[in-house]
Amino acid sequence: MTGREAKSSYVFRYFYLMMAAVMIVAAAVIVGLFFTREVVREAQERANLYNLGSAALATDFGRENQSILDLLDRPAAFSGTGTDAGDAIRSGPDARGILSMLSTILTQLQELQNRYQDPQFVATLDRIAKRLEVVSAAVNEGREEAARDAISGLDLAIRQFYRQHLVAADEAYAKTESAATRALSLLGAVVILVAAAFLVTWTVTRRLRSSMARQEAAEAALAESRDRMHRMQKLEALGLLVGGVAHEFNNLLTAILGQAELMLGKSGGDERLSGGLTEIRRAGQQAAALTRQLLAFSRPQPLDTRVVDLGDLIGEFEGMVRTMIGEDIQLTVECADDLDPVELDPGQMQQVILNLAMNARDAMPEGGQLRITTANRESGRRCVVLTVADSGVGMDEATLSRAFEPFFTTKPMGRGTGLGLSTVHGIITAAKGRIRIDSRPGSGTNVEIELPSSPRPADAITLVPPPLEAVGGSETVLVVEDEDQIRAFLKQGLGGLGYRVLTAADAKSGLEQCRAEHLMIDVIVCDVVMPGVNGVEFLEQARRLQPRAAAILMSGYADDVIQSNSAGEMDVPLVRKPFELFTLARLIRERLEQS
Amino acid sequence: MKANLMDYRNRARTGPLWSLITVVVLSATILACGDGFENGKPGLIRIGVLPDQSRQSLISEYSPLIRYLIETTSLDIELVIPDGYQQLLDDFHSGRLDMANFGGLTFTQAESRSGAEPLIMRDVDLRFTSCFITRSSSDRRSVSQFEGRDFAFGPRLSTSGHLMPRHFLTKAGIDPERFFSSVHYSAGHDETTFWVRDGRVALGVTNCVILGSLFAARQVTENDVRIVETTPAYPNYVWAVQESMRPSVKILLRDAFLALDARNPEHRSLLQHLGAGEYMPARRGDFEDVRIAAATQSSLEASDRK
Repeated sequence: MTGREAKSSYVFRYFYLMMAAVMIVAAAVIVGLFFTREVVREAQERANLYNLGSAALATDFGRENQSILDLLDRPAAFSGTGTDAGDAIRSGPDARGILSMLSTILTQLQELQNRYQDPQFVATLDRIAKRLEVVSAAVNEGREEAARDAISGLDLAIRQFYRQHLVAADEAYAKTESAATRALSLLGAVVILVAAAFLVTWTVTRRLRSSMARQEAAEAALAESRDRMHRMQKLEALGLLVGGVAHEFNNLLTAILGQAELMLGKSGGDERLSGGLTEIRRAGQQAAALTRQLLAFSRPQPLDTRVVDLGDLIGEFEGMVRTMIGEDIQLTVECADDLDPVELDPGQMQQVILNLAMNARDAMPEGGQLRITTANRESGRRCVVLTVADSGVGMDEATLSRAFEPFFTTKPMGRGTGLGLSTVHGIITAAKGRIRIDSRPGSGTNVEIELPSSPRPADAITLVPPPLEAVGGSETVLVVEDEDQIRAFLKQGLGGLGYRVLTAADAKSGLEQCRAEHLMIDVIVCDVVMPGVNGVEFLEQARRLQPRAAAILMSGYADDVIQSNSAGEMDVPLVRKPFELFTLARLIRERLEQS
Repeated sequence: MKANLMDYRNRARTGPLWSLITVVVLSATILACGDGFENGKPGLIRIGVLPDQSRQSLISEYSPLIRYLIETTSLDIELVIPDGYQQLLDDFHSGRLDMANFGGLTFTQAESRSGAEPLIMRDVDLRFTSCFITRSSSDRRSVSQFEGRDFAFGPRLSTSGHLMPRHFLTKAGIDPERFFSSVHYSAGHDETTFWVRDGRVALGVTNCVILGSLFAARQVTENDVRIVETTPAYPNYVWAVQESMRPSVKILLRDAFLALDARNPEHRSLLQHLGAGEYMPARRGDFEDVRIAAATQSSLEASDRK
């Protein structure tokens, strides 16, 4: 964790450094461009002066030269003697004016030259100055030919000078142009550089972040699955423990209940004795119910499917639900009158309704309304719809989508196993039904369960069986049971009902009994879990010796499931411990009657 | 191994710094370059000339100029006579020549290939012209009136006999191959003139200087041929230098040419020897027409070869 953070922060720092460097470079280039702009501006100014300024000065020069030539051409000026002509030129205001104008222009040119310190015009400018002196001298001395000659020389120097300025202007323009182009391309390069750096940094940072997020998500998922596995292991261990304890308790309870029953039968009219024994029996029955619950928690029970009226079933649970949800929640139960029968395990249905009611209660800590309704529905197939609706906090979509996941719970750690809804789902699916949850945060939760209608008529529901007369008989019963107390209870109880009772503590002695009592055993009552050969295997062997004998298995342990399933295949009924004597006696009678 | 890793890390960390320094130095160099004006005596200056005459006559024509330049500039200067036009261009391109006297077309080639910089040219070089001529008996007064007639250029590779006349015709909207009924190329400017005189073509174009010399030699008379039109002036010869030449040396050489003054007797004989009245600074812009004409010509030749 820390390693990854260190790595990523190093990478980020590196990129931030790069970005900073790019920004500094960009700033430097922009400052540089500012100065370049200054240089370009100056060069442009110089170019303009070379081009326009010097052109104007050259034109002035040319015009003044022409004026002097005009002066020289004036016939009057040179009509007289040389001296007169010289006087005329010298005394003429024009000649002096023009010459002084020429020297003014020359001074301007020299100033222009000084201003830019450009060495390339020095020689030409000197030549112009020298030739102007020659012109001046010739004019002042009145030497007409020399003056003309000097002026043509001056003209040449000026034309050269002018062209030279044009060349310089060309160069300056080209320089400003190339500098501007360079500056522009540099600026473009910097813009591209900055943009590319930004893009790269942005992309890499984003990728890095998303990959880090992915890694974090994966780690979270791993932690969650580890957590889930941990919880599962805990539950498994707990289930194992609870199953073992329940098994032991069931054996003990069978003995307690059996003995209490036997003594109740023998109590005669002694009310004090029978009152105490009834209390013992009630306490034993309550303890038996408790162990059943413990077993239900530890492992799913084999399906005890019956055809029932759902309305009746709910009527049976209503009191329990009401007690569980408390007084703050108002419970409404609405059941349709002509409800179709459905096939299900009433015990499991109880689990479903209690689970849903518990969830509803937890969703309404401040109280509210819980509605349980049933109705027939025709949607492709005929079915019965059970709705459990609460006015609680509801669920968001993320929670809703995971609601059926095993071990997914919104309840605080330690409260709730996260198994409730998944168990419900499993039960409903096993019963070929469908379950749907509608919920939105703040607007309650609506659970809808669809169960297929059964064509068979409903059985009467007897969660608490009515007290029955213990039915007796005179046939021979072999009891194979490793628990001494239960064996003793059965020998006493069944013997009391008139049966001839043989007992065996394990399979081996049981088989010996079978061999000894050739074809004389009518019923074999056998425990499923025994040391060595188990009940199912024992029955297979015993039936070879006693093919006529009916068989009944007894079980007090969740792990007997497999054995009891194979017992079901063998068409052997299973009695779950703890049982009361008359239950077993009735079953024995049934089996005897059938055979 | 550990030390290597450390080195690598250090390098990676200083990477941005180095790139920053590099870019700053680079931009400073770019901004600063080109303004240097070095001092100190340059090495030998080698000057090449266009080999349009025999070696001996070239040496005798240019030797006085070289002597004058050495005297005036105090530079070490050497005259180089190449074996041909291509040799001149190659030597200039490879840097074996510091300065060269090019024709109009060869200058534009040297300019595009090696960045030759025009320095100085004769007054006559600035105003070269070509003359469109016809028989004196013809009553047509302009080239545009010769539509559908026979026409003759000078040699294909001649600047004044073909390149520039074609350029100015095209500029005036005349495509010779479409405008005239037939277009011929002569072997020389004199031949073009004779073709016109003999009536083999109705119109021809020739070097005005050579035409003048033909008139002077009475090989043709005003009764035979008459000038119909003259092309605008175009530059034809130029002294060019390497662009990389020191500015101080460029100025020295140019000023030496500019200082030539016909009123100075020594200078006058040198100028006459070189066929110049005076020298003028040369501009790149002077060669715009030649450049366009050369580009058109080369693209035409390229399409002809296809």
